[in-house]
Amino acid sequence: MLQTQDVSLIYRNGEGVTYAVKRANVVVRQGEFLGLVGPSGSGKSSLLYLLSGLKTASEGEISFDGQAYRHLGNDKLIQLRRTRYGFIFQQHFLINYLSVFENIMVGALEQSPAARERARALIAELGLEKQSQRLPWQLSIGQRQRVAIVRALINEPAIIFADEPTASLDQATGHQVVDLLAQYRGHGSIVFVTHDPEMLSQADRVIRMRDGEIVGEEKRNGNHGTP
Amino acid sequence: MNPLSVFTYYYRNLVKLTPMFLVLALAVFGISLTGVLTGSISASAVSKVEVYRGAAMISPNTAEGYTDVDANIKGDLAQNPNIAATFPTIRFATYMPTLAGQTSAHIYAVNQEAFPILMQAFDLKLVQGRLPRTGTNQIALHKSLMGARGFRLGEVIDPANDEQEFIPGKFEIVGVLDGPTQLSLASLEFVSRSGDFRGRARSVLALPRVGAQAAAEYDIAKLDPAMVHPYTYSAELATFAKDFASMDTIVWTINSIVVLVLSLLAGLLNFIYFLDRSNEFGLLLGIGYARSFVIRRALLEALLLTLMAWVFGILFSQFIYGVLNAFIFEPRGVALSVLNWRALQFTIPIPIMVGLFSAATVLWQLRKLDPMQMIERRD
Repeated sequence: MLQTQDVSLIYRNGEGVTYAVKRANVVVRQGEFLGLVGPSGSGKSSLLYLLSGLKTASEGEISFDGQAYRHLGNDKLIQLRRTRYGFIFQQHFLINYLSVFENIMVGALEQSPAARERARALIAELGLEKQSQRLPWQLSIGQRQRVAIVRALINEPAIIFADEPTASLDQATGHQVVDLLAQYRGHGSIVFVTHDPEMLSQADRVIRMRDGEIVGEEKRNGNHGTP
Repeated sequence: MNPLSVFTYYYRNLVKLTPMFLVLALAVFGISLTGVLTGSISASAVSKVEVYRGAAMISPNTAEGYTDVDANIKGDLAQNPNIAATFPTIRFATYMPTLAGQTSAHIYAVNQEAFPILMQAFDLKLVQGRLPRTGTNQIALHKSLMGARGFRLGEVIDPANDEQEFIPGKFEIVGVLDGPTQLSLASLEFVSRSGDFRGRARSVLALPRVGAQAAAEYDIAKLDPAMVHPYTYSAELATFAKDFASMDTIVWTINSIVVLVLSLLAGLLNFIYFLDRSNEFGLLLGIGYARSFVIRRALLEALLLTLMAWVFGILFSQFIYGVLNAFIFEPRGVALSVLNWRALQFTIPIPIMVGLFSAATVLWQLRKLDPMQMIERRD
């Protein structure tokens, strides 16, 4: 579904060259929960940004459903991000003057009754009904992150990219967020970046990174998705 | 409500946007005021020129000792094919308060038979009372003069009772005239034999034939300046335009500086708003909104706000002028209106320049915004 081939992200500083990601080969299978784990600066977030098309690879190929990013062109890559991918960042990035419901609708492809209905259903599923008309500052950090998750889910994306979504949460809330995301497995894939291996208890597969390189891969739970 | 619509943004950010909106609206009010005031000054000056539109006046050159127009010149004027009629007149004036200060209001003393012809030539109508009777010290004043001086029908204008008054004699107000030209009429028969007007120059009013005003004025302008002083509409208008041009330049310069400062302020505020919303823009770009959409939305927000503030400023100004007109100006025969081309012309640079500066700031910031700068920030 999504795969890379010797993909690298290189930062050049004068004569020096730094590999944020070095010749990584990753496959994200349909419906799998893939964890990317590693210490700070290991390149896991950079790899996620490469996979999601938010950053452009310096070397190597990334392709989604057989289409190489390199050949898609910027407009189509943006469209791919908008239509097929969902994003959850470390910060919730909720728009401060919009209500919970409106923030979720920001992610929707169109402001249709169907999308609104889906937003309401997701809000109910995540227990945010009472908060749906509140503004972000009126929510707890955990609630904000849940809103960000609903915003990512609203279009039923093929892949959800989650970059350390539990970093600013306590353990219990963090696990709730992971549980929520794990439930999405039936609909699409999840690429989940964290520095905390405990958060990957539900992952199907975990890739370990250090200094920009993939140093290990571990299969779990027996559900490895469909290639 | 579409969460990314411009109106959602306005509605949810009223407190933040109101100061900018009010600054722009008040600037429109202030700048329109300069347009309205200078327009009013201009109109009051033009009204003096307007009296020559209906009829040119040929006065004897008093500096050369003439008190009457030479008989030959009178004969030539009467024979001129471009001139429909000539009438003898003694012109005098009274004072009239205006926004620009005190000015003089013309009064033509003409023979009884000239009243209807002059009224037709100047498009004047008797709206109250009657015309002065032959040989009496009666006078029909223009409505604007009546309002400006607070006169009532039947009152007497007496220089002995008003130290500002410079009308040569005492006159009873018997009629009110209304029309585009601010002109009042008195009886020449009375003025000619009144001791108060002794030594006053007797002029000639020359009414151009229909469609021959330019030719008539051309002929009149060629009269011997040593003997007469011709007052024609085109010549007086040209003199007025020359005098008024410098005032216009000064007002335009001051207004331009105000608009420039305002535009820089708007640009700066938009920059601050941009910084405040950089996470929002970064998110939209990050989750796949096209940059062109984000730019279009931000531009629309900036431009529409400016436009709405301008429209509000115009309506607010019109409301304020309406109140001022009702209680202060109209009773004095003056009416202010921002809904005229001159006042609008002064305010139009505000939405254009402010919109341009606001849009340019937003465009410049959004074009170079990298969403990863927001997304990767760890704070």
